[in-house]
Amino acid sequence: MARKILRINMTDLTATYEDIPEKWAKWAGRGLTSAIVFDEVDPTCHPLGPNNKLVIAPGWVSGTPAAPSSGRTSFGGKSPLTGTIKESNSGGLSSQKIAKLGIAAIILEGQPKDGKWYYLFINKDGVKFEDATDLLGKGMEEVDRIMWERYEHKPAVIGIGPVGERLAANAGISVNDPENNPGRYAGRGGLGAVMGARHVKAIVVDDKGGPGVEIKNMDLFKKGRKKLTNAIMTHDLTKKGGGLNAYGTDVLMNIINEAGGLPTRNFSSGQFEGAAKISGEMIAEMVEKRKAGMTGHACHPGCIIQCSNIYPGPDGRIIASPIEYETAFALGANCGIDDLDFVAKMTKACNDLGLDTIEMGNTIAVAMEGGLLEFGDKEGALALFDEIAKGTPLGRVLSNGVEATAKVFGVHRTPTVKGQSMPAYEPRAIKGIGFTYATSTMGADHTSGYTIAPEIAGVGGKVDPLTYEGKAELSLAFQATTAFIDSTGYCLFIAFPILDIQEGFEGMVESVAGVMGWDISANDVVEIGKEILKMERLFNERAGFTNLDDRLPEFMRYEPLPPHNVVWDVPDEELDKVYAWVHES
Amino acid sequence: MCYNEPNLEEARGTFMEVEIALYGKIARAGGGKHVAVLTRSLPTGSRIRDVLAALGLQPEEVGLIFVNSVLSDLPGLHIALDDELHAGDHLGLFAADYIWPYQYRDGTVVSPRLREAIATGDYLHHHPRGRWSET
Repeated sequence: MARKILRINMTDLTATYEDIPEKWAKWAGRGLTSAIVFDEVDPTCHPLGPNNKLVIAPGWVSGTPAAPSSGRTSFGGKSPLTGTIKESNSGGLSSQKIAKLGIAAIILEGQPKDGKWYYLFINKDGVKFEDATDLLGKGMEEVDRIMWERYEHKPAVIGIGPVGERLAANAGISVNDPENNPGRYAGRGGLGAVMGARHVKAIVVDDKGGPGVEIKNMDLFKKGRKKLTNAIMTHDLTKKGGGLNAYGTDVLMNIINEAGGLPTRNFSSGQFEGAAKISGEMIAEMVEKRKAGMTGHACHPGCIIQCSNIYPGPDGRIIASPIEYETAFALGANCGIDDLDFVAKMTKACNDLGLDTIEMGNTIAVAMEGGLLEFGDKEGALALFDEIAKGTPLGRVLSNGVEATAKVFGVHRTPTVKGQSMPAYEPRAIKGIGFTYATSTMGADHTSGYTIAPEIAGVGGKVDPLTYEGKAELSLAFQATTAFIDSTGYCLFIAFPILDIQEGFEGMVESVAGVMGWDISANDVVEIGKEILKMERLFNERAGFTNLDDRLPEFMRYEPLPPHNVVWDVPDEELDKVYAWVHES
Repeated sequence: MCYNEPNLEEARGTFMEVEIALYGKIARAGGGKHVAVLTRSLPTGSRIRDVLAALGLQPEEVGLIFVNSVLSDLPGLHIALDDELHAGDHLGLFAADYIWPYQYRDGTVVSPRLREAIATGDYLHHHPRGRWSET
């Protein structure tokens, strides 16, 4: 059965299944959310107004049998945080279930005339619009629990917490994990507020009896799947017992700290004396010592990397899942907090209230610099979540992110690009990622430029890592490949093994080609990715963005970052090279 | 995690103190399970190789090496072993199975010796063993 577009109109409460128009037929995941937003959303619209849309799409291989680590769902729209196009993707249960219902994308549009709130139940028989009055104000833990009580077959629950209901710019979209916890987030960019602006509290997806995913060339798909699986299972970072499996993404904490690139106390230092205490190694130690929780947790069915964790408190009761590197950096080092239990408690609050942990931690750090509380004040930081939960004026300021909070508290050191705050890699100390932060169509984003093999990047296999020469071309190749991988439904972490293992890269491409019935090779990946980037870049241009927005914040140019005492000194002309091709030919 | 007190019994004239952080499987050499931070008194002029020997570690057990926040070695290269340490240095040692993905280290500060090595070698893969066949 051919994939369908499910269009849900909240103005007249209708749901229609449409054939995919030819112009979107080849896309899935990020490629499809960006294509639909590009075609259907006015770039000048207000992100919270009636003309924005939320688009939800599984990837090319989502829902296929045993494609490894392929449970990512893309969410797209115009971002209330950045004003740019946004694609944010999540693990959890939703991707495979949406795909198995034969749905290529859900387009959520309009706003109820009566001002009521709804939740949607989607299964093989169609869409039901249900009254969500009794869910309003509830956190995602309770919403997930209620939905599994209300519906059988352990459905996927896509939802927003109270912060999303209040249309805050740092509202994420939660997806439940296999244990029905709300820890998986399309966190970045405030898409929870775009969902809230449609007055949709939750979308429940049950794939029981669905048609499944059509695979055009099963032999090619199987061949690719095997090669990719082998690559994942043999690479040091992604294999069983490898770095990610043993310590999670927080395996990077001590490395980046040793390198002097760990943003600390609102990006005023590249090193945090308490880094080891909030590292992945310490998470593993706590799990062993407290004999509870786990490392090596799978965030979605069929993941073979299993880099998530479940973090226990001193009494052995679970506090939160997962503690990611980005979470531990933002709520830990960047706030001067070296207590994992408090990082976990704040993570739980973010997951329940519906907040992106990166933006939230960076927001608290800015508030600390602005004098609201001291760096390192863990009790004070945790108490801020009560303000957010209650929706006090302070809480509402904080739930709108770094730039809003910096303005309110008179802070000039705002570590943002296009309104989105930076993840856990200081670009003054690690300059390559600065190219991607500055030029990404998404604002400062650590997942928009994953390395690919030089043979594919077209840089001839040799790159001098110590000069700016060639970095723009490299960043573009990385961003394009990442846009492709974000369209597959595969977790971006497959990018680690497929850089180092050629067969893995070929396997990734062959599995996609098998599903879609294409004749493409590894050499086509960058060009396909560039098509996605071009749509995103043009949307942003039409929304008013220019090359002058492709810049890192001013303070990074004149404030030397300890311990290396380096500033951001990359010439603007080098940054402008990354997207110069968009208007060529 | 394990913190050891500095050994102050050694004569300061011919010995120097170095702070050593051990991450991953090699933390056992410092009395930790996953992380150990210790201060060691070593003969003046000791090299990284000597530190590993003093801790009972084989060079192949160690991958990423940082000296005072400067990246000095990558897994499998073993080019920093003869780098000399100085009093007050901080040495960060990671077990050989740690990988620092390229996109998160591109443009970081590296030692002169590593700079030389990667100017002629392959730096862009995450892992030194990672290399595509010549096709």
